[in-house]
Amino acid sequence: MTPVHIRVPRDVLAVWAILVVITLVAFGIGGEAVTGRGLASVVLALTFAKVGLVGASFMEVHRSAAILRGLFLGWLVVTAGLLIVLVHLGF
Amino acid sequence: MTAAPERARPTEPVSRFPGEAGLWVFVLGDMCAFTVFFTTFLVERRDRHAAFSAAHTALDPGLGLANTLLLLTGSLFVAAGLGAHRRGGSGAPSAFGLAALCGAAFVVDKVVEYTDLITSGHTPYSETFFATFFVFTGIHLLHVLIALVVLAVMARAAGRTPARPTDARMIASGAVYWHMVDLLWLVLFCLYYLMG
Repeated sequence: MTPVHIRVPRDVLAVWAILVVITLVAFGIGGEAVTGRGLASVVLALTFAKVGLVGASFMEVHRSAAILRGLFLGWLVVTAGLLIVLVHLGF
Repeated sequence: MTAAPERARPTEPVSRFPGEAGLWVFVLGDMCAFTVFFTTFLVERRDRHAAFSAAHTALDPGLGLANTLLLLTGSLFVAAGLGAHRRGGSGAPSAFGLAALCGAAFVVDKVVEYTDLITSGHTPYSETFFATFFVFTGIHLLHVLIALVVLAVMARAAGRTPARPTDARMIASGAVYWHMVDLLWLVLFCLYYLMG
């Protein structure tokens, strides 16, 4: 069996490391269940920061057509904004 | 570990849409459907905060964290595999295979979690929290199962010699699909495992 070399580009590795760190930070905040609205908003904001990073970097949206960048960013802002506002309203 | 000489492969046609442009209609539509799911969770929680907090304690946050790290690591391998394929390297099929292993481990974890919950009396009929949990994470699990098939097709295409002209774009499309599955889980993890 021929050994296979998998090269992980530095930028991909850096994005993955950032995603893991944010996940662990959010888990540290919310691992025992976030109950306050402020902390819940922080955890949601961290989550959507990860979502944006996955979209921009891994899904390559950052170097795609303007319309796709706009649609993805629109979904991100609307969904994150909606959930954070709902949490603030006591939902 | 030896580095195989990299050789040029046909790349996907120049496009400003990663993968197939039409795939993005499905991807963005699916993301919008999940926005409805996320909103439904919070709306259902509004008048049942105490019940939702109590039900939330039945979930194992460590399992949720493990599943999140599995999908993120799967994304790492998918991105590495896509890059290797574009460069003409030989590591793409193995990278997609490792991503599939991460996905398979996610599926096993989910089956274990569902089994534990159901045997503990937490079924979709026992509590609104679990009704939404089983439906939304179940739909997501279906996406992961489809992604495993997609990864198998990607690995096969990446290892094909000679490559077909359509392979590059198909592989890029599969990568977009995998990352969407990862991205949607990140929000489910936050809502169900981190917010009480």
